[in-house]
Amino acid sequence: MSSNHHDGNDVQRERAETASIRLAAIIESSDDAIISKDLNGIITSWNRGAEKVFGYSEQEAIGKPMQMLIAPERANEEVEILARIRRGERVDHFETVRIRKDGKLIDVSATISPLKDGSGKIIGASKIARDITERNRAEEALRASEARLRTVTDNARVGLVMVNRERRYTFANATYAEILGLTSSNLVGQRVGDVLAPLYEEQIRPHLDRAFAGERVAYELHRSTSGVNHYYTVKYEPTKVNGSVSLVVVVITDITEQKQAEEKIHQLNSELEERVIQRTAQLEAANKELEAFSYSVSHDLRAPLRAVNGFAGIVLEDFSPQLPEEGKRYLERIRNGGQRMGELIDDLLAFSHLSRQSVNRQTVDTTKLVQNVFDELKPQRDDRRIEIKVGELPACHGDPALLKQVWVNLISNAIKYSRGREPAIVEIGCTHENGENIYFVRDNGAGFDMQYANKLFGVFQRLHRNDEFEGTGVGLAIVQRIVHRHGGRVWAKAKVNEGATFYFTLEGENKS
Amino acid sequence: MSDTNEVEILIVEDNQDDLDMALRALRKANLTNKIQTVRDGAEALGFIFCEGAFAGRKFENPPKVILLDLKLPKVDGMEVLKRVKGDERTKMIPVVILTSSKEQKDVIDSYNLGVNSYIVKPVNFEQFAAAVQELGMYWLLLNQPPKT
Repeated sequence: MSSNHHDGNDVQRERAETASIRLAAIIESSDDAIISKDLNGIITSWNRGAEKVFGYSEQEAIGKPMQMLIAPERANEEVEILARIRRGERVDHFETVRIRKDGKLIDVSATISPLKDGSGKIIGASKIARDITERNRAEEALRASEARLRTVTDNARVGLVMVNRERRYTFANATYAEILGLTSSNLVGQRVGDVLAPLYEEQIRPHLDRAFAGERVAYELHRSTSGVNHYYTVKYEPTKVNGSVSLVVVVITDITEQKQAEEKIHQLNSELEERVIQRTAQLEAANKELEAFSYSVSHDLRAPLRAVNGFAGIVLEDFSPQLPEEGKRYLERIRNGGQRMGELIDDLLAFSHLSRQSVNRQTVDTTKLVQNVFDELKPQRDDRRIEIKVGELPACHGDPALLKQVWVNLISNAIKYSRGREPAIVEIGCTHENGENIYFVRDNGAGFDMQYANKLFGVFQRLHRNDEFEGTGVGLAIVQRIVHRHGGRVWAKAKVNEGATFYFTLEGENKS
Repeated sequence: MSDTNEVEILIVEDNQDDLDMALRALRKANLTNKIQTVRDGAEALGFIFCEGAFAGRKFENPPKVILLDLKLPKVDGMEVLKRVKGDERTKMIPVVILTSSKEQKDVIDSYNLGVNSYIVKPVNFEQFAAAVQELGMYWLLLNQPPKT
């Protein structure tokens, strides 16, 4: 059984057979189509790969013309290929379209080589063909995807670049160059340090170093070109491959306009503040002036009045016997006039004080407040028979001292103007309408003509003569001012000789 | 007033009308004999601190009360009050502010400076006369000053 029993030719033949079998096995196992044909284009061999690529079995293919795989419009291709083969030329990586048995067109990449016999004569061709339909489709998809990405990134409002470890650009969208004012449009391959000198050394480098150390970085970049300030926010996103940062994605946003707007707002704010300070100072000055004025009124107007009053009184006291009755009466009227002017001055001062006084809001027990007011007004009632009806009075939110003044003025008016009624009736209560409390004070007294209602709340405005009902015409003006300062409303309904009702609300809690 | 060392009431008042009425009221109450009147703040300080025209006066003989107006020429009443109450030699002297001003600020400032009483001059003559008489009575006859 040893090879020693065979002669040299046997050994050689055996080796050739072994090689041939091995080759056939390789051909059979290939995924590529491996086909041979003669010089007339008739298929002479057909491997399993060819069956897979073109759909024909070995039996179906052998002996058939190669033309059956070629679309009619490409018929010349086969003629040309055959011509080149005859000339002994190879056709390498020839990409074309072929028809499968099922009629489907496929992209193939083919390499065709001449086949020679032992004497070197060309007897046919071998063809290795690969179905590249999928590959082409994938490439197409990739190209489309890249184009889309490019379109998107170029139109993005942010600058997008990728920087590798050598600090060179590997990608840059158009916006990047645009917002940084770079003239060079093809950044890929260039060094960041060259493109953005001297900014790179001044501001960028330490941040980029951190990003390449694996840190996500965000910072603000400031650049000044020919006196114009530009501001950017910059974000670095490190991309790791095998644990080390190979690439940093840079996103840069131009925030110059935003900054300018912020600066503008800041400037406007400080201007506004300045103006508020000025206005406040003016107001304070005006207030000071008003204070000085009322001080002066308070002090200087009273002194001569006291003299008028005083000396009229002294004359009456010291020289009464020498005076005729008429003279005494006139002196009395001088004194009354002075007295009244004193009251006017006092009321006017009280009224002007109101606008300067701050409103200190707190919860006020209205029932208790009204009770106190009645107690205080007892002397004014002169033992008159007055029927007082007090309804339910809900608590309110306001300045107790100021609200007391409102109730004092309204209730004392009710008592005053119901003089002469038997019995006088003063009714106090509260109704609830549209979610707000409406307090009221009603009397059955003199009332007034509603056509003069608009004069009611004016300073020094009166609807009755002083000899009918004494007063200065300031009480209701004070009521109105206090109610308004609480954000409320005040109004009245009346009829001559049938009494009057005054209503007020204290809504608008936040006003003062 | 011959001897300023015997003064019991110092009236500081620039308004002749008010002064006359006050003096008349005090006279009616038989309180006139030991009154000194001065017409502005500077004069008042001179009397109180025994200076200038009042150099002959002694600190040991203070008035029993000073009736002080607030609005005065030269040195105003508030300043006079401040000086009187801020000086060890004079801070015991009772000071009554007698003024037309009802301003709360004046009242508060006066009390902060140590005023003994704050009276608003009534416009009504009878009330004014009564107030001055009562004041005189109170500080001269009823009030017990510390022994010096």
